[in-house]
Amino acid sequence: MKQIEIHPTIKTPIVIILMFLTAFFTPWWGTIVIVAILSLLIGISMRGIALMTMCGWMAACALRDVLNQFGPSRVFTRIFQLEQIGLPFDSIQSRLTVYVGISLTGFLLAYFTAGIFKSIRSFFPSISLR
Amino acid sequence: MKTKKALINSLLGIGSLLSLAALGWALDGSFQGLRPAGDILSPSLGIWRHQPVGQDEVVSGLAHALSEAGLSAVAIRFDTNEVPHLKSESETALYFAQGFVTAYYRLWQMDFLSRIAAGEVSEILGAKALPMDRFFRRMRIPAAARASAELMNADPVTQGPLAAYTRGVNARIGKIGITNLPIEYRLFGLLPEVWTEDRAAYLLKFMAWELTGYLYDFKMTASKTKLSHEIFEYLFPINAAVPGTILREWRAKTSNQPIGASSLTRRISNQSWMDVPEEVRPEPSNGSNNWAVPAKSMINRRALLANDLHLGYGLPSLWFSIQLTSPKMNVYGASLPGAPGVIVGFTESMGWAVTNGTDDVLDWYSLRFRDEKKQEYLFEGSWRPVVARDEEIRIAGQPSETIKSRETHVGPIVFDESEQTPSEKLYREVPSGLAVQWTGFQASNELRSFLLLNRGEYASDCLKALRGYVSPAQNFVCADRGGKIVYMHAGLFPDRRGRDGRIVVDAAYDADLWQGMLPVENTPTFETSTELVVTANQAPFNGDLLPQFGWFFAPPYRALQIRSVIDSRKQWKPADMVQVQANTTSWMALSFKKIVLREGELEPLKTSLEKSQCRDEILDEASGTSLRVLLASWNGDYDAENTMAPMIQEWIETLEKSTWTRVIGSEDLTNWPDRWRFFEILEKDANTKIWDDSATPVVENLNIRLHETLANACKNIRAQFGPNLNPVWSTYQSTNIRHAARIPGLGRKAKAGGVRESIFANKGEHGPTWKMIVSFEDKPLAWTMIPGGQSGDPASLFYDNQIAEWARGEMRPAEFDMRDSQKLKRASP
Repeated sequence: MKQIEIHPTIKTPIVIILMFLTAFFTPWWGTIVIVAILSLLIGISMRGIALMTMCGWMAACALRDVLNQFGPSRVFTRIFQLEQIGLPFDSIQSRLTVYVGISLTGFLLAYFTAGIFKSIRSFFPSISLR
Repeated sequence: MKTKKALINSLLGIGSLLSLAALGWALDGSFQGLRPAGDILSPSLGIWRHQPVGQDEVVSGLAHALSEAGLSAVAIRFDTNEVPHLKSESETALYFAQGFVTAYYRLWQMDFLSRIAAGEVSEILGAKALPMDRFFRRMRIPAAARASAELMNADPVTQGPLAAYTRGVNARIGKIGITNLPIEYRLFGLLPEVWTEDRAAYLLKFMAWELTGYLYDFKMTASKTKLSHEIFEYLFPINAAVPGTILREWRAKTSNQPIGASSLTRRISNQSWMDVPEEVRPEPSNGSNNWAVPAKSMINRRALLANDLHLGYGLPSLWFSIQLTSPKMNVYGASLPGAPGVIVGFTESMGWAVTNGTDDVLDWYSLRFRDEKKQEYLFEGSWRPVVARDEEIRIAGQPSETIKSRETHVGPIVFDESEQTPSEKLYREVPSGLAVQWTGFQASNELRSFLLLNRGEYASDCLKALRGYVSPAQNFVCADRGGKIVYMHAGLFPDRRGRDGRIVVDAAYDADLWQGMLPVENTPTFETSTELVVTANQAPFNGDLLPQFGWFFAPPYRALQIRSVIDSRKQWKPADMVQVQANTTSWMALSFKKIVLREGELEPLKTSLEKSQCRDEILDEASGTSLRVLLASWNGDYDAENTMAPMIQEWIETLEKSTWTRVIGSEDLTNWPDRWRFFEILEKDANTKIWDDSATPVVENLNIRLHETLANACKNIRAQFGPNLNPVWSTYQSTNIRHAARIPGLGRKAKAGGVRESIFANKGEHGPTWKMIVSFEDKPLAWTMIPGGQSGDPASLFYDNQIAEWARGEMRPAEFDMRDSQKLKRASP
């Protein structure tokens, strides 16, 4: 089996879009599944896939928020009590903080999943597509 | 080299696997009964799919629902406070619309609150709510609510509105989709169930419990057992006259048996006291203020009505403001989400305001069982059977529990020894077998009274509307455009035939049980057009007939303060009354100040006022000002930034606690004299033996106790706030408005002043939940305020948008539409 070769300049946007679609349409564990598949299919660093997943999650959060008239970010602003650290309610700052904060979940999921598969690949190069 | 690399890769794999497993566990786990965190955070699910309630959606949704239901048009307008103004030619359509719109904004809240009274909270919150559910089930509140619902459904005044409202709620529930499901359902992973007429009755019974379910009898029994007769009568004088009563005097129309102190000593139960689950204990301060100012005292020459309802704070706000207009009705005010109509409010020409009557309408009795099986109890020399039945309580995430509910002819047996656990605090030394009598058990239709008030034209209509009103007993004050003011201490009161209700008594004798109810014609009422009427949960009148109604009325501090402030001006502008409702001065604290300054002339208090251990906090080092000077210049104000109030409050409470703990016992175990009596003793009996501790060689008096407790109060403040911090009042008493289901983050803190004894009676988690001022001009001129907002949706800007103004004591003008208003532009369907 051969690993799919994708030109680096289009790999990043493709992965981000894929992770955005994953975050937007699947439950949180969907990220683990897709990152696992990507780790097998294309060569990508742990940090790289984690950052791209985070971007995808942020975009998904932002789009959901816009579609729902910024209601979700208001709820998270309350739950995380962001006003107490000086971020005004219903402001761009509080929204961005919510997006980044929630997207860290995606970052960690992707980072650890990629770590597992990086380790597996090192022991069983034959199952790697590279 | 290869081995090293393999080792690193192994560690990476294992570390990643463990980390991912931990993260997965955290995301899949639930917290406080909520859905798994991963579902809540994921952009594809949970909160990210939630759309806030929008006015346009409500308007179009209502039009569609009315059309589907085949009902007439309802015009709807939202004002700047998000208050819906509904207008229709058809009252069926109007109440349907009220149910629909209320469910749009408050479905979760009405569902949750009705579940409390129904004993069904464990279905949502899990086993931690079991003690509460068991209590309400065994207390027979669901059964009483269902019986009341039957009455409502049989009464032509309530049947139509209730049915239409219920249909409206269900029309909304039927249209709920994934994006507009109230967020709490989403968080708990639930879906709303079909709404029934019973639910309104549950809500009203819950309010009855909250306002009358006082459990003082146990503690009072313990106090009576502990004290000598002489000391008991000194501390708890049953017929003591107090100032500031609602009525100057009251004479019953038919002869009632006066109650004297001697009646108390009959067959006192040797039962010890008991504790009950904290969640079901009504807050002792549930009360309120209302007053009506006669036209002669107003610049606009129109009567004015003011009301602030003191209950537990919560988000969503307890009350939902609404205006309902039909050809026969035009009413604005606070509605209770889940029940049709307006509970407190005003019409085009009159208004009504309520405060808790604080009457004793609940008595506990001890039962003598035949044996340990507790299947029979003694009554008038023979054994009667206990009727038992099983009830199932569904619990989220675990199997249901079946409990036994047991009934006697006296009332239900509420506690079961088998469930005694220290954490639930159900029992401490208490044998089971206490039966309870409560007016709330009666099937009753209070909704009828409120719906009739919604149609009121004159203040005197209150008297007609309140005929048949049962529970909770309330002080209704009504006023109208013509300047008439009517007061009624409305409710049903037990006839104890000469016994007062302070003590748990033996249920074995019929003469000690309730002998029916007091005649309705003996309900205290009053009509005037020239006098100020003030109620603040204080005694309605003085005299030996008073204990028929109760014995734990609120001290008259708030009533005296209201009268004092209003009497300070000859005439008032309506808008200026907003400041009266926001008044944070404590009459009680000013009384304390006078006592301290008097005693401060004598040693040892004199020294401690000048140089105390509390030096850092109470002395202004820069100016060298002593506590005595600071105290003399203090005006008794408990505003948010006040620095003197924490010191004085801590001092009063330390003095009170140390005195009664020594003389009577712990506050958890015994009843203490109310603060009015305590201050009477402080003022008049500086050398009474209650100040002395017989175990010490010194004969202590008030002065010594004040000296000691000042030092202790300082230590307490220092321990709590640090050695160099002089807390402001809003730090000492933080104001916390929690979410109804205690969901973390969905509550709100506020920086507010006020104390239990001030007009703005903020007690941190309890206080004014609905504020209203109405001047009966040709078009009513009104202001309102709630500690929260109109919306129950945390995603809405109207969820808590009024809190900051509420905390500052401000109010918002109420946009009342007269019946011929042209403002209702958005016609539907």
